[in-house]
Amino acid sequence: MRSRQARSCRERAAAHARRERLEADVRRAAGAREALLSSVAHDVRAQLAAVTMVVSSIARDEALPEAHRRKLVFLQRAAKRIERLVDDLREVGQLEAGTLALERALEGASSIVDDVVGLIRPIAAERGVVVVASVSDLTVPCARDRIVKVLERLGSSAVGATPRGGTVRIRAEPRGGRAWFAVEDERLSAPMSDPSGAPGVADTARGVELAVAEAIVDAHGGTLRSERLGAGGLRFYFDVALDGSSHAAGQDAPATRASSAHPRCGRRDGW
Amino acid sequence: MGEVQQPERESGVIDRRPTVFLADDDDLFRAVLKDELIAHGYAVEDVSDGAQALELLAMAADGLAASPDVVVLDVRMPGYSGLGVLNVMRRFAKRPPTLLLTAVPDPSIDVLARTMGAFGVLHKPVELDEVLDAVEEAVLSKARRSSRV
Repeated sequence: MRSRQARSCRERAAAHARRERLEADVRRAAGAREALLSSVAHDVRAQLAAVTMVVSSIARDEALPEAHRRKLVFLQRAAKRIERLVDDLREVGQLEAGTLALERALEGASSIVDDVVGLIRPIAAERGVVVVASVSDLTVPCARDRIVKVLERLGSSAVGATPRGGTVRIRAEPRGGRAWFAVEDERLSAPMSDPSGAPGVADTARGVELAVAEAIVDAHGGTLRSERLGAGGLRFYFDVALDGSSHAAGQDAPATRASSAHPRCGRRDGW
Repeated sequence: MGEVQQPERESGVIDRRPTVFLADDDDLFRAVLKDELIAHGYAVEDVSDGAQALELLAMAADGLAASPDVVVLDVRMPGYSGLGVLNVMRRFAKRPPTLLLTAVPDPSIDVLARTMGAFGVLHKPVELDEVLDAVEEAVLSKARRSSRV
């Protein structure tokens, strides 16, 4: 009896030591990944700086033909998009390694949504898409800039996927003691950027944007999910505890964790 | 490039072409910025690492090179970093306004640089106009400082 107890005790101690080793390995791997991503992000930004400098230097030439000037605008947009992509990659690494501090404060949901609408409305107007906000009066403990970033990424994607004349809705309301945020679009069907099913460049960029959105929501104790809307379209949503606790809600919701909606995971919903 | 433009300045404060010391290890970035600065009426001395930047500053202090009106330093460079050079410059009796360029999107660099007396911090990728405006502002600030003395 005593020897069985002793063996059980030894096994528990060994299991505990194994778990600690594994956790240390995971922390080391996350730290190494973050360091690599930070280094890559720096080098890409430095190269982008050279490209941006050359492009703005050429653009200053008043004799430049209009057609060439338009192409330079495409280059500038592409450079901005790459910059955003590397920043997202770096941020995902930091969030995974736990080195990104989220400075939370009590923020008004309406002010957050106002910021997001202000950011995406110009792009929406260009594409003939209407952006509508529906917000309840509630205060949310969160890192404001990060939540704005999540909703802006979701909103931009929704605008990109919604046909001209369609509507994108951004919602914030209390649900079950939590602040519930959603972005709803009216996309008709999934984009097929590559008939082979391999993710295209745009898909990859959106995948990274989605990854950073998920990581930020996770860090707030929530889960980013998506679901098809009855009348067509897609809803991305997440919630944040109103009391600042980290309980992840929505586990029983009839929806898909957002990352599984990514084209690489089988669905092609524009992310 | 067109005609050489002279940077706007307060009349009678600087009679010569303002001199910019530019240190950046990215050859393409440095070459384009140097060309544009020259096209906008600046004299430019450029180097590709922090140690060379310090050497150039030492030569200027000894009267062997033109004294810079503005120093532009990349933060991450071989040898001394931009912050390292700025730290050494703190010992100078007369320190030219210094702009830092960085591809590291970390706000703590701004705080540190300003604590160390940097005139400004520009985050790469940066538009050419933004750099030119910052350089011009730095030249004017030095000119104003000199006219007060």
